[in-house]
Amino acid sequence: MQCILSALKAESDPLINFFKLKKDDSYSFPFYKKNDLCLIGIGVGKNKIEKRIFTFLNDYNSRSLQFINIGIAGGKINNSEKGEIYLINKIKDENSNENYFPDLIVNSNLLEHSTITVDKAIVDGGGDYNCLVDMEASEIYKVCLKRVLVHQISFLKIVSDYMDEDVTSISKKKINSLINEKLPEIDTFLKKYKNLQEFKSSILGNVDLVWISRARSELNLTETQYHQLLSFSRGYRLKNPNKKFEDNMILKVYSKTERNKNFKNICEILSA
Amino acid sequence: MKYFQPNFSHIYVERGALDYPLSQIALKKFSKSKVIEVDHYKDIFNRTGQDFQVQKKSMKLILAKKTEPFLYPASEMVQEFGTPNVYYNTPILNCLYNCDYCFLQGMYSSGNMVVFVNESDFMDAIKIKMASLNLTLDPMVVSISYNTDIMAMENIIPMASRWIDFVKTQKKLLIEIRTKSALFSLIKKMIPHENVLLSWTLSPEKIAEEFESTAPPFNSRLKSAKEAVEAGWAVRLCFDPIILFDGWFEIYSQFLHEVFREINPSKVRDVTLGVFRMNKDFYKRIKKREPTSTLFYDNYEIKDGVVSIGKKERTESLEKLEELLSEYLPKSKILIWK
Ligand code: SF4
Repeated sequence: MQCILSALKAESDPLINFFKLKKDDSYSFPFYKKNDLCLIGIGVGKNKIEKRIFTFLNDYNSRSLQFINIGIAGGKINNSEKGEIYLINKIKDENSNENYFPDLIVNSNLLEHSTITVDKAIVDGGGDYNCLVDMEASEIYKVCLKRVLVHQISFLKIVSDYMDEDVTSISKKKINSLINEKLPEIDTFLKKYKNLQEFKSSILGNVDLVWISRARSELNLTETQYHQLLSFSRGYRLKNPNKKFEDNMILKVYSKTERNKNFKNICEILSA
Repeated sequence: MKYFQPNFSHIYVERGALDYPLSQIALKKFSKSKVIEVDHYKDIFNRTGQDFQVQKKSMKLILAKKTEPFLYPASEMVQEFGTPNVYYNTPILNCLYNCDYCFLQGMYSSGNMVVFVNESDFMDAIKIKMASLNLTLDPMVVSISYNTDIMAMENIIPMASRWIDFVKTQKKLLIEIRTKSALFSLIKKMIPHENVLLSWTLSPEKIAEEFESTAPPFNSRLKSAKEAVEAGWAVRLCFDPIILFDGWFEIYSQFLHEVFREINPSKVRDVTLGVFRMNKDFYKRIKKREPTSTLFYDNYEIKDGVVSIGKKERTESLEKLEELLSEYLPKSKILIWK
């Protein structure tokens, strides 16, 4: 699953239309979804980010989940171009002075920039800021990192202004058009980024897990035995990609001694 | 691989490390890489939530300045073989290769590489230590390729050759450079020095292909080691880790035959033997991440904090190999981790 996080409705709308996402009204915040892609409206600023992301994670927690923050940011006339999209390689939180570094594994071909996350919009031209300025990135990074790994969080920022406009005063039409212009790049990035998900696919398939769970309950395995079984099963699956876990390995047992004997036997077969 | 950035697409540089010659060499070598400034290498290397194996798909280079300690006493996992005054240092953290059995994946949370560019601080620490040791009989031994394969980096950052130059200025220092690289050609022009021990880890082709797929193939390593021997360098051959599987003895017999058909055993300084072993905490950490190498799903024994094959099987296998090896070398030249 890939989950787009965007702050403004004007940022979300073009993405929702392009990816044909459907609103899911069971959430108390903007949430749209189609197949393996969804979008959460996280609102402007840091306040609502954690609650919304965690609410979503209650329903959709998977090992391969990816978060992609897509939104507009302020730039500087001498180091960025209005309308250009940038992949963020460094985030500084202005408040805490902490730096965060997203992993940059995917060959995206996008230009890169760093961003500083501020609490209040910068509208005076940006003075000493040498990077992009946004209002959510550092919080998104911190919150998502509580539940996923660094390479599962990415940031795409489109420069909307040269730090001379308040984000809330930029017209919806202008934001729509900034995002619309970059939809092909966003789409390509998402597709390439998705390739990273295969590295988190589990060694054991669903059928294997059903067999393991049957063994666990029918043999009444202890916690340690269960973990040992998982480990042996992974080794078996790696060595025998096409072999089944035979049902007749699991016997009917009536005592702990019988259970332990059967368990030992299973482990021997799996590790042979 | 087109979906991933090439290795070292990004270079993270500590502010204080930028002006060092090694940094300049690296930045020149990767002039197209994106350079990102960091306050401290740990801000990037020690981040929480990293995935070692995912990062290995596109390693980043981190240039940093190390602070003390610059020298560590050798761990039990390194074969000291009764030699006193054995140390290791860490001029580089992590390796260009990614062998399935490598302990680095359990030691570091990051798959990226750190190069410490203040090499003179490492060298000064050795000089200070040497002054405090009684080196009348034995030299001080320093493994400079312990947490990395320094030679594998030689065409990127020529650190091995700089260390060899340093050794030449010290009478009582011996350095060991352990490698799986095929880059001997890069130091071929240097005059061999008796206090530089070049150690090649060699494994049968089958093992190299399955468990060391990112390192040069067996033949290239053998060729490099042979060239070094013939050029007059002190060469150690490391048959370590020995991986046991059905038919292992036949494969290893043939392999040793091949090795010593190419390399004159009498010209080899010594050989080392050892089976797969790993610090238990590193092993557990790797296991937790659900590794995809079959190596981590075999039956092992944990003894004194080390995960390895059970003592009986281990001893029997190593003794068999020792016997085989003794057809080529005297037993005094066969060093075994038992
Ligand atoms: S060459 Fe050595 S240090 Fe490098 S990955 Fe392989 S085992 Fe580890």
